[in-house]
Amino acid sequence: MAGGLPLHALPAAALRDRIASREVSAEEAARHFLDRIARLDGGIGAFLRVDAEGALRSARASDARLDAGGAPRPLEGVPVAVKDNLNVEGLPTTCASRILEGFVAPRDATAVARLRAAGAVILGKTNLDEFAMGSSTENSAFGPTRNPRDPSRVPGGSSGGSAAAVAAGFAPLALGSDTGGSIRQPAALCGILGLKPTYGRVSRSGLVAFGSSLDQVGPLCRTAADAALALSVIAGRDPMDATSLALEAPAASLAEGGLRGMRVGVVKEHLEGEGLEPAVKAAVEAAVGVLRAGGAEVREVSLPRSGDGIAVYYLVATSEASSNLARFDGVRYGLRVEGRDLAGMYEETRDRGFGTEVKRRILLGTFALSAGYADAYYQRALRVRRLIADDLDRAFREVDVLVGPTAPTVAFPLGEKIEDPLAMYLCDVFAVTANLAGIPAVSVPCGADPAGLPAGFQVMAPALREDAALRAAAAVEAAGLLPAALPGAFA
Amino acid sequence: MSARPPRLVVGVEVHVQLATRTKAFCACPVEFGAEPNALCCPVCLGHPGALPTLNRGALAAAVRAGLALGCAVAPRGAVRWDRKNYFYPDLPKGYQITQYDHPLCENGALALSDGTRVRIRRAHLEEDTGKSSHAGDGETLVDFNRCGVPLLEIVTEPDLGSAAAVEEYLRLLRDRMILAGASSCSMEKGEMRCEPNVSLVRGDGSSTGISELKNLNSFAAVRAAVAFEAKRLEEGPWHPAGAAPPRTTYGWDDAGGRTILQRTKETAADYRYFPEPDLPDLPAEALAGFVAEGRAALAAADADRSAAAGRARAEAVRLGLAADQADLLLVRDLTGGRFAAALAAAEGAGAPAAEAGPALAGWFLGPLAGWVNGRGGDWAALRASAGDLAAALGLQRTGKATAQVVKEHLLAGEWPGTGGDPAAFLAGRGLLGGAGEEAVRAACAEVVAANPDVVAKIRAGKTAARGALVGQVMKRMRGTADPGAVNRILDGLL
Repeated sequence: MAGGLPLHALPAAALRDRIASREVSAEEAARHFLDRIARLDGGIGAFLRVDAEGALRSARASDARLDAGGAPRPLEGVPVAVKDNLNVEGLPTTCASRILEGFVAPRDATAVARLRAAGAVILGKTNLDEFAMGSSTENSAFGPTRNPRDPSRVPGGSSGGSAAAVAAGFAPLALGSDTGGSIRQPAALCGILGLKPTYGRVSRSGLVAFGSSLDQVGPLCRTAADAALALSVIAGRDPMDATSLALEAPAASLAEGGLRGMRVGVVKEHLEGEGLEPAVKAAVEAAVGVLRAGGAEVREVSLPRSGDGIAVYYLVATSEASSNLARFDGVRYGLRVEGRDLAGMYEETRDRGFGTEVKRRILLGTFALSAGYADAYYQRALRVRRLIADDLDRAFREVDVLVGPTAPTVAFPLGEKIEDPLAMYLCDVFAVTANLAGIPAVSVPCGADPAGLPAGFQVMAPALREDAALRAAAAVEAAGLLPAALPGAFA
Repeated sequence: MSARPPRLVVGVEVHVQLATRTKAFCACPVEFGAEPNALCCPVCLGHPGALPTLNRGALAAAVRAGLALGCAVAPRGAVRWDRKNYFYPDLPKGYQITQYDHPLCENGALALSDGTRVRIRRAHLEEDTGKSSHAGDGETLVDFNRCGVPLLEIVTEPDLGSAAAVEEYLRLLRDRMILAGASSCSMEKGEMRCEPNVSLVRGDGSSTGISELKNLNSFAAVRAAVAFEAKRLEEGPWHPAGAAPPRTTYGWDDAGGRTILQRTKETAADYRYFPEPDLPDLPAEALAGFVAEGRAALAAADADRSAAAGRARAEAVRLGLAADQADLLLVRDLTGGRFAAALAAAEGAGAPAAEAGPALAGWFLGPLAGWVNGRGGDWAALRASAGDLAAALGLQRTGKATAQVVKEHLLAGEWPGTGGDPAAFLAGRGLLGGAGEEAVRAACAEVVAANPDVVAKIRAGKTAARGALVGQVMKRMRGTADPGAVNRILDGLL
């Protein structure tokens, strides 16, 4: 086999090139991944639904296109896993919730449609924390996903199914959504790369809303180059999403160009944060060393409002969620549990349909928006959100990127934090900043603790500067701080 | 106790449906009377993942409406959208997209004919809900065709002091909306929904509760409901000055002619308004184009109307019409062109304008208007054609039918709904051709013989009493006698 690597160890771009050059057919590639999922996902639970038939159909269409002399598209024949809060036409969208029981998406999310148009093969839908609310993928109504690095541990969340699928070699590329770290934190815990693009880069049309002013769709994959390739496919103005930016998608070469002249700010508060595991801190320092050695100018930068991020995030996100989830009422689609009257039907349906964490957040958000409390909570959170963004604007006058840990810890055992919501919320203490400010951020592996559990290095950049974040990430990736090999059983 | 009667205080909230081809936040068509749920998509049905996108046509119509009401457009610098959160089966998303504290239009006014300035506090854009209907078996059905249709909610200050003023304001508002091309304001189609807030205030500042009146489907209903409620509120209870009066919702029972208690608002509903994150703010700069276009469109509409008024004035002079007749028939064209068509047909048949104009104006604003109002107010119900009406006028001019016969037996009867040859219609009922000299003379003689006291008065010089004799003769003749002949014959007998 060319390059010596099995298909499932290849980055998306390399797999696409093999398919484009007819070394391997798209159908063979799809069968390879479907076979691995069938054999190995039982112990991981990355997928909620595998669409083997649909995947093989579109793989054969890719092959037919190439047979007919058609030019290979940017993701020709590349299998992709899709988080199950993104609509894929004809498949159920569950959001890992009972409340959407029976709902089948009538059309593709824009990001999914663009993947298909670029030749990608949709393998199926991946597990998540219910409605993307959580940091461990344990809040799924259909059972947890396990971390391929150590199946006794969580993969992070909420895009834990997508992260585990890539880490286990079930797909070279997956889509996730990131409201407060939901792409980057699981990428960090699973030892892969995740990109949250600038707010508005990628259409949210067809993404089931959680925190509408924070949500962004992005890729999980193995390399910065793959993230750039995926972004070049899914980004760009969409008339179906009024918040999508009127910009062309960036080029696939976005991660190229190296570190020359790059000014790197190490976020003081993120590196001195309470709860930061020493092994994670050491791995992050090693990555900073890689950037310095690679020619970047490194300095320390302060974001004084960092400490308020989690509080602000949990007010804004839950407020928006309390409204966004009101539509799941049993009237038009999904679960309906009859009650004594209309109010009873609402109560029964939502009581049985939603899990504990979702209910907790709906209650928090409803409270934060209520008359008499909105000024003290929601409105105040909006003001502090503005101050946090101002902090970043100031910092980005001095530096091109801001770096630090993606999450304070490595992957933790299943069940460890599930009864302690506050501890769980703190998993995203460093991640939420980028969502609140709408800026792009990447998590790239930067090493492992003595047990071999990966640590993630976060690179944030100013709005629309995914290129800077991905160039820094590419340099860290090239240093090989985390061994590239797939974990034991998944080699 | 204050000696003077309490003062009626009314403010009005009106929802007008903006005249757009598609809904406010999706591409579904706006149509009245379509099959239930035929005009829906994932966006207006609130499917997971669906997002709203603003229909710029709705924004343009709302801006024109605001300008037509003298409002400032986006005085706070940007147009912002908010979510109003509540649960109801006809509200698919669990929230309505509306404008809470940054309304599109503010601080307008309309002047009533007596000079009262009705201040318009605000006018904001929002989406309509679906429509629930409760089937007899306890099932509730929901039609989402209306869901997402753009509405402009127009709120006045409490500047109206009588039921008549409320009606005049609403008629004026409708006229401005139509002029601006913002809405066709058909109340029958629910394109204009009026909710007056009614209370009474006494000289010492004490007041009744505020009654919010709903389900008012015509101007007549608005007027009747406000008048009824004003009377009902006189019984109190009265709340001292400075206390926040309670608000209560009443429906209007049109058949029973009374208001019906719907609910008392003990606590204000908490709608948890917050900025709609799915729709970016529209900066004032982005609105400048809409405002400029709106002003131009409104100026053109005003100019059109002025020109039409000018033409109407000249036409009124030619026809010898009164100013109010000309306004109704030629400027506002209440009959949808039917007056002008009948006039043209009559002139074509040889009737002089100065004769046909006033006669037809009298018919259209008198018996025909009454006939149409008795049939839902739609002039389309009138089947008598321009030619039929010209023929009727011809019968009257040639003395084949008296004015009274035409008015009472032709225009106020079945004929307007069928049309056809008026001569045949009247002949079939023995009302055509006028009465013969002998018949009139016989009738006059009978009347003189039967009223010796009146005859004595007339002979004593009270000539005014003669009208009573003429009336009696006409009555005996069922209106078929020529009044000139009656007078001539009576003169001879007296």
